[in-house]
Amino acid sequence: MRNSNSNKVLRGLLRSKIFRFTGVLTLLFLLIQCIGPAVTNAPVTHPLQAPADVAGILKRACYDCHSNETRTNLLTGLAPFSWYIARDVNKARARFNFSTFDTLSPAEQQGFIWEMVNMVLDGKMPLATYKAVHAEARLTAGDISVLKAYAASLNPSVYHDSLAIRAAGEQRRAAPYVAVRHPDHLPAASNGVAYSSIKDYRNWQVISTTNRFDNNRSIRIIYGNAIAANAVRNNRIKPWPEGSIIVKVVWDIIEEKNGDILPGRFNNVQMMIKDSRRYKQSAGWGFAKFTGAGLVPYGKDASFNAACFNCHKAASEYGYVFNIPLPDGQTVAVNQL
Amino acid sequence: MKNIIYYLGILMLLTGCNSSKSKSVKRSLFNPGGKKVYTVFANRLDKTMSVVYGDKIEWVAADSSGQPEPRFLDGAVLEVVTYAQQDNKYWYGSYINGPVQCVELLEHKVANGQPGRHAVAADINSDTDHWQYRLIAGESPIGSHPGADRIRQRIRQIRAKRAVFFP
Repeated sequence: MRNSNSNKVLRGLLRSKIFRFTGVLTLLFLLIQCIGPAVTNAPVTHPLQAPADVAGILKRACYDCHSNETRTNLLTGLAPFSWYIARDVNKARARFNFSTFDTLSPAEQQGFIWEMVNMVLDGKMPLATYKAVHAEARLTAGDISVLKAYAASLNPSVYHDSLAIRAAGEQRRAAPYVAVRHPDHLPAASNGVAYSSIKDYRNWQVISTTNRFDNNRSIRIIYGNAIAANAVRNNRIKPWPEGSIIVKVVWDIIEEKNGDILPGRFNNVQMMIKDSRRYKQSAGWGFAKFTGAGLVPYGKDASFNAACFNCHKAASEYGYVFNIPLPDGQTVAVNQL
Repeated sequence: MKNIIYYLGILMLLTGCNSSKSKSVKRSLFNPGGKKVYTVFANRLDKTMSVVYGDKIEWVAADSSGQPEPRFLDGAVLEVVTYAQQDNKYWYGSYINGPVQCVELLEHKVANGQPGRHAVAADINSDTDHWQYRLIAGESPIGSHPGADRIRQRIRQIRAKRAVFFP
């Protein structure tokens, strides 16, 4: 009698929708553990060389994603969480990897260090989702000061640099004078961004001037065409209007002990053109750089546009354009050491 | 249902067009009145950044090769716009111009109708008397009532800044 009652209960349970639903979910959960990306750690071959205090901060806050030393725990091995973790880790390692960092040239390493510092200052890194689970990754003001000081130490000032002075003089002597460039001889980048769009930029509005003390020590003038200049004036930069064009003219600098930052050799002209139909993958921006007196276009193929955009993501609050001055009346000093 | 639509419409009217916060944000850009950039420089100890615009400048090649040098015609001007240096908000490692601190004007005057001379570095000292200095706006770095010597020094300081190379 008892057995027949137990069998009835069991049969009822097996027939119940909740039980069947739970059973299906459990089966699915077990099945997904066998599929999807997983985090794997390749060998550490050329690790970052940095002072102990800097390395300690980076290991604490960055290495789980940006190295081959990703720590494993329950979540890193449990789908679907492991899928998202693997996606973030693979994306981070593709950007730069501390475990192979020393294979990069000193210039490339410096570039990434400055980019890291800026991503941290902008609050974009470490990822908020990562910090939520890893309290040790939340950087303090002291941590950020250490990282900023380290970046600055990689690129110290060189005063009255004779090489820079000579290079400027040689350029003036050697570069053929071109009063007006023939329209058929104007260069174009491999992504279709053409110098012809900016051939009259010297008549455009100056939006700003900047100078850099990072790994790219230079002085610049930033111009905007009429559409861009009006957008700057009226703060319609998020997004910028179609047809906006920004030009940045870059000169190497000669630094003097009295504080003077003087323009030396002309380095390059860079441009950004807003065409959302053509440059969908980069928020509508087409980038180009033309280097040297010969205005040689940068980039073997159109994929360089994505690399430019990656860096410009740090200026997303300004519509991906870095060198826009603060609005009238604002004088907030940031990024002080 | 009709009432819901009515109230939703009012809500949209009240909130949808409210972009006054972004419209009130303005940025003044210096109008050089048709003059073109002549040079640019900065001083990190003074925390200033300057853009120099020029007008009535001829560009004359010293010989068949190399870049031409500026020749200032009668009435040529160099307008020096000096800004306060500011940190670049979205890139640590860069400074950007802040508010305008002053606008200075150098005007080239030639005595007795003689044509303008080549403006090469060696001429700066003897050429100083052909330039007039005027403060257009803001506070001059040489003070509110500078003497002749300070003015001449400032003229030399500005004239010593070479024109930038444009490709």
